[in-house]
Amino acid sequence: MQECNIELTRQVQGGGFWDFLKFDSGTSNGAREDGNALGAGCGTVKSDAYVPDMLFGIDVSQACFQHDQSYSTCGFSRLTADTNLSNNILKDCSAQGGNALTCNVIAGVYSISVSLFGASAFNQAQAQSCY
Amino acid sequence: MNRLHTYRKLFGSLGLGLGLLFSSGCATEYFVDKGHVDGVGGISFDIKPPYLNEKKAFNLRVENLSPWQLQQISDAMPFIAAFTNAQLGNGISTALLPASDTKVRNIRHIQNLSADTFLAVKTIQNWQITAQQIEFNIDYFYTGQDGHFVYFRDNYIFNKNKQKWVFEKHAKTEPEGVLACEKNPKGWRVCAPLNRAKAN
Repeated sequence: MQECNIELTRQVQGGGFWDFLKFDSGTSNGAREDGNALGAGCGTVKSDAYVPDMLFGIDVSQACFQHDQSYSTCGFSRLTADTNLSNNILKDCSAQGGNALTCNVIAGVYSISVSLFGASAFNQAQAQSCY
Repeated sequence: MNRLHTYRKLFGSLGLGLGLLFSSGCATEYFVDKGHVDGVGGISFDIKPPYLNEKKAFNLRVENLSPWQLQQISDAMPFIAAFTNAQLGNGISTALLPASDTKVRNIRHIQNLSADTFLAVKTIQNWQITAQQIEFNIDYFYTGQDGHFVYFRDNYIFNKNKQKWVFEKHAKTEPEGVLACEKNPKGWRVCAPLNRAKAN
C-alpha cells in the first residue's frame, strides 16, 4: 500500500489548497526565521510573533518592512505610507499568484490595522527620525 | 437563551481584554517599536534608534558566525546602519545625494530612481570578517514602475579606523545587481542575483 504524506499530497495537488491555508509570523523560538531582528517584517519586536508575515500563503513581509521604513523617514506622509502599503500588498500578492479576492482581503486587513493602530507608531517613528 | 448568555460572556470578556490592553499602556508596547537589545550567540546587539530599521535588517542568525565575528559586527552596527540610511537617500533632495563619481556607488543613480521612489533595505548579510575589515552585502528594494518590488544587491567593505568603522571600498568592481526572487517550499521569498538564478 502506498503511503501518503503532506509533501506527496502537495506534489499531487500542486500546493494550491495547502498554500491557501498558510498563516505564519515568520518567527520561531523568539527569533525571525529569515535571520533578521524581530520587527523586521509585520509587527513590532513585541508583536512579531503574533502578526502574520504570511497570509493565505502570500508573503507580505516586504510590504510591511517598507511601510515601517516609510514611517521612520522624517517628513514622510502617513497617508502615503499607508496607501503604499495597500498598493504594495495588492501587487506583491498578485505577483505571488494570489487571486483578486485573496489579495484584496489581505490588503484590506492590513490597511484597516494601520489606520486603527498606526498613529502612535507613526508619531514615535517620526520623533526618532526627525532630530 | 443559553447561547445568548454565552455570546454576552464572550463579547464581555473580549471588551474587557481590549479595555485592559488599551488602558494599561500595553498597546504602546505592541504597536510602537522603541527598540530592544538582541542577544545572538552570547553577543548583545543594540537594535535601537537611530536607524532602527536598518539595524533590524542585519542578518545575524543564519550564517553561523562565531562570537568574535558577532562582536565585530556589534561594534560596527551603528556605523553600517548610518551608512545604509544614507545610501537609501529617502527624503533627501537629489542635489544632496553623493555625486556619481564618489567612491560609494549610488543605487538611485545606478537604477535611475526618481527622488519620489522609496528605497528600502531588505537585509544586510553575507558577512566576511577579519580583525580590521568587514565585508558584506546590502539587499535593497523598491517599487518598480510596474508596481512590483525590485530587489538590488551591492557589496561593501568597511575598515576599522580609530575605533570607528568606515566605508573603505566596494568588494567587487560591480554590484551583484537586480535579484531574482522565488518562493521556497515554506512559501518565503528567497532572492539570488539574476545571473546566478539564470545559471541555476
